[in-house]
Amino acid sequence: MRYLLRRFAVLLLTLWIAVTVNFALPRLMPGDPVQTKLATIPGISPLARQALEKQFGLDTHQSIVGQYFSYLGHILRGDLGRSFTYFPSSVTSMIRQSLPWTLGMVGFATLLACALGCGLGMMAAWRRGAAGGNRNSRLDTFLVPLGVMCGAIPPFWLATLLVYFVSFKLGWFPVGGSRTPGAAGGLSGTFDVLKHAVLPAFTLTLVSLGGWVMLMRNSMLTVLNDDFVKFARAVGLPDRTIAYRYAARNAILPVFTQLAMALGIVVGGQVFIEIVFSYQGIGYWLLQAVMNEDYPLMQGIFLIITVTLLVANFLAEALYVLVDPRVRVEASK
Amino acid sequence: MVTHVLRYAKATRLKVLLVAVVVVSGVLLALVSGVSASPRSSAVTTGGTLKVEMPWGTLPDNFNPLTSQGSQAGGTLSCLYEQLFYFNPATSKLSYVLASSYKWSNKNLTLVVNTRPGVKWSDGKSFSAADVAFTFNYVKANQSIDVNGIWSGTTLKSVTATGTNQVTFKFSKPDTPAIVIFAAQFIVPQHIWSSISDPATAANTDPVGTGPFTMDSYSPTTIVFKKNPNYWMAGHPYIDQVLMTAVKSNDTALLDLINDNIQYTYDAITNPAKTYAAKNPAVLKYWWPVTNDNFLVFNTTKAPYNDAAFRKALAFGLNTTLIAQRAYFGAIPASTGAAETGAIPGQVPSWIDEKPLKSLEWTYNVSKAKSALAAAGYKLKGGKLTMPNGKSIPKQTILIGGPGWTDYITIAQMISQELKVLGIDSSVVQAPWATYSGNLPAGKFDMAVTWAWGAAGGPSPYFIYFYNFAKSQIAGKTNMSRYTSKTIEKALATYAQSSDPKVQKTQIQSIAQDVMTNVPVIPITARTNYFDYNATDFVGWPSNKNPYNAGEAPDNPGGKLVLINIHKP
Repeated sequence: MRYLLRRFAVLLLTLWIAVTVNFALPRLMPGDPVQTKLATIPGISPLARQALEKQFGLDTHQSIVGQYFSYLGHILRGDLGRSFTYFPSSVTSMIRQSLPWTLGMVGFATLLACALGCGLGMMAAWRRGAAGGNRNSRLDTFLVPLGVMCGAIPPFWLATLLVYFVSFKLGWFPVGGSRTPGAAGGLSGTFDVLKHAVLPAFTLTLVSLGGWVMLMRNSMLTVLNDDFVKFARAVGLPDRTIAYRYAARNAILPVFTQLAMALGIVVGGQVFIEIVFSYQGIGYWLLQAVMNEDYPLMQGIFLIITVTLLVANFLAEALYVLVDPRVRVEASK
Repeated sequence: MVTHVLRYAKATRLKVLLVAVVVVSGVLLALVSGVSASPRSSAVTTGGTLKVEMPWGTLPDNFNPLTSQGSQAGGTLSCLYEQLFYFNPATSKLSYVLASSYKWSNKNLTLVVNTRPGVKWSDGKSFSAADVAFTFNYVKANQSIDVNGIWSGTTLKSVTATGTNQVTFKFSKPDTPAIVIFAAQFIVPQHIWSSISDPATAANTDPVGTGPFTMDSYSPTTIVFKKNPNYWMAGHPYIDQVLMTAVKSNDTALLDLINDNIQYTYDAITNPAKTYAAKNPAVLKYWWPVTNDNFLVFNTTKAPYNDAAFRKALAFGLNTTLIAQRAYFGAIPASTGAAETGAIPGQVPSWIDEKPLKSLEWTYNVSKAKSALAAAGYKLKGGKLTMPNGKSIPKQTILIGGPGWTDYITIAQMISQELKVLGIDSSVVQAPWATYSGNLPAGKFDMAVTWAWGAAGGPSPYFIYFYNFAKSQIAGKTNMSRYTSKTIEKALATYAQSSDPKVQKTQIQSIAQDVMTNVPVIPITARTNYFDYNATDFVGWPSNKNPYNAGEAPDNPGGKLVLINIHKP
């Protein structure tokens, strides 16, 4: 319990540092957000420009410390401000519109890649590591270079190829978008959403599969070298029991941490996939925010990413305590 | 042994099962997608549905026409709200929208605009001059929405409704170009906006306008606009619905257009003749009318760009025809002949007499450039050009925006190569938008490639000349080259004080002459709108033969003209 409390305190401290850096970073960027936005409207009234500065919260009357504290106050109240680029849309509404799509598509792809990758990695390692590691396994021989190759494929390149050949030439899937304009809700609507999600999710799963396969395989190989596996075989336990009930459970622990990090990063969106497939998501907003010096949008999205990542990390550690008795014993010391 | 084989068989069976499941679901999905592919304009009504796509990413839940363009959802400014006039920037022609006529009087200190009778708001109430006066005074009272500089950039003193269909604008000093600035203002209903206290943040999610369509349903990816039965142009629009979507990349829009999933978009397609129209020449069309220029801008406050002879000599050294061909694959022309004045070619016949300017024109001629440089005192020493005072010209930079503006990269690189031939060493600097849009008005560059800022929509060359060469537009504004001349200042002032086209034309001529003599900027290529459309289901599109708009985007007031004029064949 004390272990968890300590971790929680560290979490709070890290959060505060992240929020402060979040405030400072956009302001360290060169360039003036008001000028950037209004550059293409040169005829704008200077009073309108001033009013906009005030609404952006950039009027230099407030000291930087004052701005920082008002920023903290707004965050605690859940007010992330209004975007500069898409003024007067509020940052919360923009995030609320796009985050579910990112969580759904990217989150699903990550989980699928993890599940498939762990399964494949485990099988490859078992084939190879079983019975003392003397066996040649075709699965393992192919899987390792295949995994590395998949990881090396640039996602945007694969995405563009798929859009052109599968969507445009063959017409199997829509060319882009998250749903067909004017599509109804209900069951056909869900089907429509799934249809649009297949190619983006497939691309993401494929490029991240390799990493999971390698992780699980290597972890599994290490575990299979342990004495208890030899003992289990000597005792006569069936291979399947050894593989799933004993070896895999131990091998999956590093995957937990990795999965926590991966899920935390999911909320950052996948900007290339979103652009090529015109899929709704938060990555595109982040790109626009950085290009247009849109402080509130940038801060809002970075905040979500940092908080999610830290919380996911914390949950992974908590899960570790639950799952691994060795850590539980360590923690209670 | 046997157990091993059995185990292997079990695992393989599992794998086979998995593969079968994937294949079957893939086939199912393909069948579903084939069956439920969105139908063409539905056969339900005689009108039809036009599908429009905009490749700049977003449809915010905001229908406020008073904030800067781009803050509101696409379609607000084309389907829902209207202005007093429409000035066609490609042809200089004026069309009356909510106004029906106008007249200057009282030594151009008074402008009387008659508004169109019989116009109704989409909620049934009548439109009148009171709404126009209200809108202008509303902008005055809330400076945060004066995005066109109506009250700060003109000498307007007061706006009053002097009749049910008459509005009077009073000026403190004559300022006739102001009418073009007034034309940019969208008119909103007094009976709704008089109770909105902060127009800059109002989302206006239930919009009421005079436009040809009403907003039927909104989602972040699609907005449905339905025909406004009370629209003032009898019989128009012909179509029943406009489906407006936004996508995040030009490629998606292009593929959708080729597949006839959408019919109207705005996309600067690379090599449109080959990569787009050639796929189906009968229906895949594009029309890119010239509405601006791409300039090579000199920072005339820095040596050697402060020397007019130097600038003029350089003009002979640039092969603009080849540059345009490489950058735009023949889709956009170079600036040659009359376009070298900086004016838009479509406006030249009405405004500029080309004959007296022929002797000032330049054509690509490297030896002439070299001899002109030598005559101006610039000598070549070891392949590098030196200034008349003997110092060699250091390495220069050509600033362009980015990332990814491939046409500008090509233009700037070719310019750099051609300058090398003359003995000037230069490098191309690609800056992100924030830096580019900040450095240009601030004068932090040597040379730059950019367009004529602020001039979009100007119906006479006055606007390009004013925004690019007026003294008042230097500090932090649009006169990037920082060039001034007494001739130009005087001509601009005389033009603005007169409403007589003959007087105005004389002023334009003298400015054109000054620009061609002193060459503060070199027009390299034209700059166009990028109107692309699929003509499978509808006819009545604008073209060179029928240029009723200037090829604007579907969320632009010029785009509205397409929406109200197309119909099923």
